[in-house]
Amino acid sequence: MAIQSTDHGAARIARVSLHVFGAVFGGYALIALMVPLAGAAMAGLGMARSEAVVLAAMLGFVAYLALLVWGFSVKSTTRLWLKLASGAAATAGLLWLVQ
Amino acid sequence: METTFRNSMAWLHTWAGVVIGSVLFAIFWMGTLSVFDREIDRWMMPMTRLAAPVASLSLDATVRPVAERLAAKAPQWGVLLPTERVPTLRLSWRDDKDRTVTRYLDPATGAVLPEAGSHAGTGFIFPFHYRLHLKWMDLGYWLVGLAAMAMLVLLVSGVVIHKKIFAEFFLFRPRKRLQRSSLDLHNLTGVIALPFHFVITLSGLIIFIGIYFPQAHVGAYGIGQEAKDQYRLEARGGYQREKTNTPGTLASLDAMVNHAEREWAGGRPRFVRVWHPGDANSYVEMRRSYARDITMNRDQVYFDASTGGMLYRFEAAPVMTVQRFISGLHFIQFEHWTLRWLYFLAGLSGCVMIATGFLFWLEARRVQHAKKGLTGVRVVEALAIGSVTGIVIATLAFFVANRLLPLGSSFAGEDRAALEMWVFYLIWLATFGHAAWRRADPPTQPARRAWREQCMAIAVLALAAVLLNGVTTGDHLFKTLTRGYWPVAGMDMLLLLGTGVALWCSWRLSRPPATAKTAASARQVSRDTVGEGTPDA
Repeated sequence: MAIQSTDHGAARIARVSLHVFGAVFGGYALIALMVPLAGAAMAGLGMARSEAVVLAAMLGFVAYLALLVWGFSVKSTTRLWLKLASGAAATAGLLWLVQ
Repeated sequence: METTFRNSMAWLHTWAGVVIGSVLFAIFWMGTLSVFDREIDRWMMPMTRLAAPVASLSLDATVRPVAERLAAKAPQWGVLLPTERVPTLRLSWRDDKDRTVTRYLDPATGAVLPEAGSHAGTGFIFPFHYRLHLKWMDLGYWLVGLAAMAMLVLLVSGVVIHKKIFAEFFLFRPRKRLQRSSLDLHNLTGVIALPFHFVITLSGLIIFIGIYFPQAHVGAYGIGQEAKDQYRLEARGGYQREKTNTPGTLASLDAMVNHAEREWAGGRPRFVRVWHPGDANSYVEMRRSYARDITMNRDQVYFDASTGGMLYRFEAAPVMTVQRFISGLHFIQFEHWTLRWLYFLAGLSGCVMIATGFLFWLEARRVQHAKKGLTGVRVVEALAIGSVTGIVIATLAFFVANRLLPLGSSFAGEDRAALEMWVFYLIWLATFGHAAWRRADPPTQPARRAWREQCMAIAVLALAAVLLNGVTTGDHLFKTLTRGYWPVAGMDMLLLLGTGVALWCSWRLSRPPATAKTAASARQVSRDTVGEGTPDA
């Protein structure tokens, strides 16, 4: 399959590892922050608290799947990390505010 | 990762499959067997092969005297009631060293059955399916969760990379080259059971929301143990009160069962537990059966032990009930034999899909790797053999060991149940070693000899298990079939079927390898499936 011509040997292994690590663990970190935020948001909109938390957690798996597919389709590893990091920072900030 | 979305998905499908395929096959294999975990229990615990449970069971007459004799000083004792698939009462309590002790009782007489000395289906095979028996830091749960997410990603990427998914579904060329046939079979099993694979994997994750998202409640409830306890109480229910350390009595359990059944409009209890037995503050917990529903309800009623008055009642709210419905889709605790067999077949199709995925990966790279002197194919091939036929051999060895080890035996401080597990793990390890060392074919050819010998081992072990069951328990196939004792007859017949399939496989593997004229069809494969067919590693 297509491999970028500048990308060989150890450099490719490093880039691929960073990409996979970012998509899998970075993606999970982002979702793990979004789930409690979504739970708080739905509870704030009037859902019973425990119900909001269960719904947010169940949807978390679907969101994580979508994020993984996106993460592996993004071409640039730098952009992947930047987007995940800014997303996680924003979610963590909001979560800190609602608590 | 790659230049186009489809190329990225092809890369992802290839590598997620190879890296996680072994774990995934183990999870699918054990999950498929878990569909019949109670039947495996009957086969591996002959002392529990009782007649169908009695229609009306008196807890006061059968369970209470035994519990008061064995577990009088325990902080709690509980009993799982018989079901259509489990003819026994399962009494368990905590001993003075805080270990859980379990005894099986005959519901007709209350007699304590001899110790089973086996973890069998519900204690070994089923937990292996969701936590691989790796308890350290819940590592097993997390590995299974990771594998499940990988499975979902594999399904999505698999659909994306197969343009002609409908046409390929009707395509199976078993006589073509191995690479072509394995891809056809991979597509066939992948597509035919695609809805099953997706739902079973997602529902498996949703069962463990509390493990995979342990902090889900912190936004709505706050941080700390108190917040977590409050969330759990509201979501799952529960009641507790402290001991008083003054003596108390226990009113009629049967009357409490009747009360619970009125509360549940005829629903029966499946589990009854007495907390602080003999204490003035003792109380009784009852959980409702879900044998007739997909939803594994969280309905519970608590009674005061001395008066029998109701203390607490809980039913899950709607979203939690949806979670319990999705869990029920996965756990199949409802009584429905047709669906149970369909789950079993769909599970097997998942095993075939994973195994043929491995084969295709190997065949697509074998020639290139041999030319370049790379060892990737040989390593993955040994891993694939040990992961696929190896775990089947290990499982069968587990069954055979169960019939050979005498009750009450122990070795090097390990009891019989632990020894059975040791047999499983040691044999499994040995199959990887065998797969690595016993490949005689040249590197441009599949390791036919290793596959063939492992297939022969499967055939021999499966047949041995059936014979040993007949010899050691007397419940041979002729007897169980004529008497219609299906748990044991069914398992024996599946084992014999397994012997037949394994013999057929080893016969096919013993025929001379395909000739060179199929090279053209190999090139065809590369054109059919973007990315996947092109060796690049």
